[in-house]
Amino acid sequence: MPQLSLRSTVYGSAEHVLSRRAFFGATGGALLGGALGMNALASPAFANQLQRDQKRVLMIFLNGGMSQFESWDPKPGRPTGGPFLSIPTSVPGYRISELMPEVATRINRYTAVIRSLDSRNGDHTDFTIFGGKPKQGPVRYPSLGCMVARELASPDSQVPDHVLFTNYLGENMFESAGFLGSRWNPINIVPGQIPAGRQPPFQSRQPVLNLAPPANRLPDSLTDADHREREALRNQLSQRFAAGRGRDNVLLSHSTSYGRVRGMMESARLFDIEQESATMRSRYGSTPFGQQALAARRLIEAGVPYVRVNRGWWDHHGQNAEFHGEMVPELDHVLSVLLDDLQERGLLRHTLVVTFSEMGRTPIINNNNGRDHFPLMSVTLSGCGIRPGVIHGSTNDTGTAIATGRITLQQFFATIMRAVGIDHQKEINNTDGRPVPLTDYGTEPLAEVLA
Amino acid sequence: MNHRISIVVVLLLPVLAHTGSPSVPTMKLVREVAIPGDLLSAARVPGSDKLYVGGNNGKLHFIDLADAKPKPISWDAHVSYVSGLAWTGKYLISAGSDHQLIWWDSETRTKVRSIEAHPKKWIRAIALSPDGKWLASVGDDMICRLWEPETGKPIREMKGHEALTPAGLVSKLYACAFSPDSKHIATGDQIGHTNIWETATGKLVKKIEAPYFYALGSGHTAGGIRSLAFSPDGMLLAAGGNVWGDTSTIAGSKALVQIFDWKSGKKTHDFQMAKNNFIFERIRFHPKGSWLVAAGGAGSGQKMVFFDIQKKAVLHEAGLNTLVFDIVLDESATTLYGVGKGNAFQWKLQD
Repeated sequence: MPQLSLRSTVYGSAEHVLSRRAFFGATGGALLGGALGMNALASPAFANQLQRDQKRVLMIFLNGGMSQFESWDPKPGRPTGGPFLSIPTSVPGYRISELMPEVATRINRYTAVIRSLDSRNGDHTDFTIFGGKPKQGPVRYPSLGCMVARELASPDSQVPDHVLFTNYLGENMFESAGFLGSRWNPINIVPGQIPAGRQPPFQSRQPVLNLAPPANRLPDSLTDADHREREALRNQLSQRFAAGRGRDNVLLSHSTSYGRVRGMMESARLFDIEQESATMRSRYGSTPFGQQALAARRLIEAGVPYVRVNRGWWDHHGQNAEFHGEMVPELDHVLSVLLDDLQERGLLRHTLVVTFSEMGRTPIINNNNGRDHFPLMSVTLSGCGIRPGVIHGSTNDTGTAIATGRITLQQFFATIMRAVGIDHQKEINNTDGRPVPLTDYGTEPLAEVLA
Repeated sequence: MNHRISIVVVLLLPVLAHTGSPSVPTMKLVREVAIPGDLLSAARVPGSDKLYVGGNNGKLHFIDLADAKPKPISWDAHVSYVSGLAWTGKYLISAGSDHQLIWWDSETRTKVRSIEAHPKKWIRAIALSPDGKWLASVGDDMICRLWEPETGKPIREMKGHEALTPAGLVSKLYACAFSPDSKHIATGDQIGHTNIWETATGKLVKKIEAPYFYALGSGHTAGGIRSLAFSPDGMLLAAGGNVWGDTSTIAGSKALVQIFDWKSGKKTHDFQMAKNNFIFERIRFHPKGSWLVAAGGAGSGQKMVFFDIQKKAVLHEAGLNTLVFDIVLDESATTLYGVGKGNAFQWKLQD
């Protein structure tokens, strides 16, 4: 077994001082040697080290647009309410859909709910994750994940900075780093392919779940020694090319991306939820979303600053109650387990868990018993930097309009950034040297929900 | 309330040319009464044109279509959808997505009792046995419960449907129906499984897996058996609903009826509608078993479809101008009643 490097600290116990660099040095060596080194993930010492390090964001993105009526902002008994009832939560006076009984008991401990986000978006675009900014044109704005990953990343990190678990249905609304440079694009992990021959019946076929990036292992044709030699040569040539060219984000991204390949490969086991106990895997549930959430927790625990898990497809223009009736309980369970797990590991106060949606859904239930696209939505923030139990904003009694507390996408982004200690007005020079703020000048975060 | 009443003199709906027995019934719409909301369930007082109707606004309505100017009497009943109705003579029993079974005095229409029959779960359907001895309810707890129709006393629970779909998501128990001799009850779920239980003992006597109602591969699990009906001779069991499919997220998928020789489990009929995306929300057999009628609910297929059981063919598809969520046949199959999106209907059927 590998010996982890430990040093004494003010905490007085060697097990409290495990450094991440030391950890990965040890586990990386173990992995290369074929031994198992990831048990340290379960160590409180490791969690404590991370608590002193960076903050992180775990985004649960609801592709296709989840209905606020069947989740955070129910209107039972109203013409727009649908079939489901509401239930009380641990926050007096606040009720959520009966489809979310597990979350209902946790809101006062972990979560602030915003029921009044006006996204100004009613279509399937990546508008929301770009905060309403253009990703093409004179200024290619970055998406939220890329901005946050860049600001939270550690320069010497050997783990990825930005990981996106996609879903196998619908559009994934990918992140894009824009002028920040491709260094901050996520590693996109596609969970698997739908089996070929999609003719019914095939009741027993499961999509093949993949939780790891496709290139975290060397091809059979390449030995480890060969790979190291090639990397050394590439690095030498890159340095010669870069000499005298000044600081260029694109060039820098290119070089650092290669440089991080070894770290990625050596942290491959981070993505392997088989390293978790059967009890823990069972706790998250057997669905692809549950397993992705568990893998995401492993990444967060290892110091990946921004992880996004997509869950889709919520675009229920037909049979809205039927689909939400099965998908919201899954979200309820996975989100609850995730929050508990992060809390138990001491990670939640350094990890912001966000639920965000592509859009909301209409109050009117259409002829297909569905709900269509709607710009108003509910979102949640849990954990790091958040004042739990705050319910911000409201909609009117039928959910057709915001009654109080309207906020914009830019405000939402600013709130996320502030919660994890990012200056949301920080300027970054774009490719032309023009300073561009992370959120629009003058944007105010939502102070009410911030701790 | 502004109840629109119209009497349509003659509306002969499109008829496909078929010969032989049974003859093709024509539908003549004789009455259409506007009632606000989506009307999801109906129960008829035998031997009359009196209907009780349940809506998605939690209201119950009583209407006598024999009146010259039928005017609904409406009252608040449930918090949300009224998903099922049964009339015992003494009581009207309503079921809701608010988990409640409610007994109403059929004379005074006052509440007699309310039972949270499926705690914290949507009650999807109820059925009264032909002999009047049993009331069955099914809900999203995947349990079929039997009750004494007069007293509301629980008799037994029947458990055997999977709680989770193969995708690991919560399933739904949509439908139930008694056999004509009341000795059996069939229950149908989201993944196309139908269980047939012995009413007197609760013993599971047959399990049928109906194909096409569900598939996992799409990642979505729409579909499911939405309605069940035994043939009058008790030999066949029909299941109605829709084919699984991605299109369900948009507009429902192809409507589907399958019929089984339930004792052997062998599928005898398979009707998939080629056009339109919709769901057969309710199916009813002709009292003599010669045809089966299926009503299209949510989706673009606003139609009533008659199937020839003997020839295994569509007798005709009758286009409608609205969605229909529940239908009731009279004893002689000369009148068909329906409720849908904002309307109650009465059609005369002529062979």
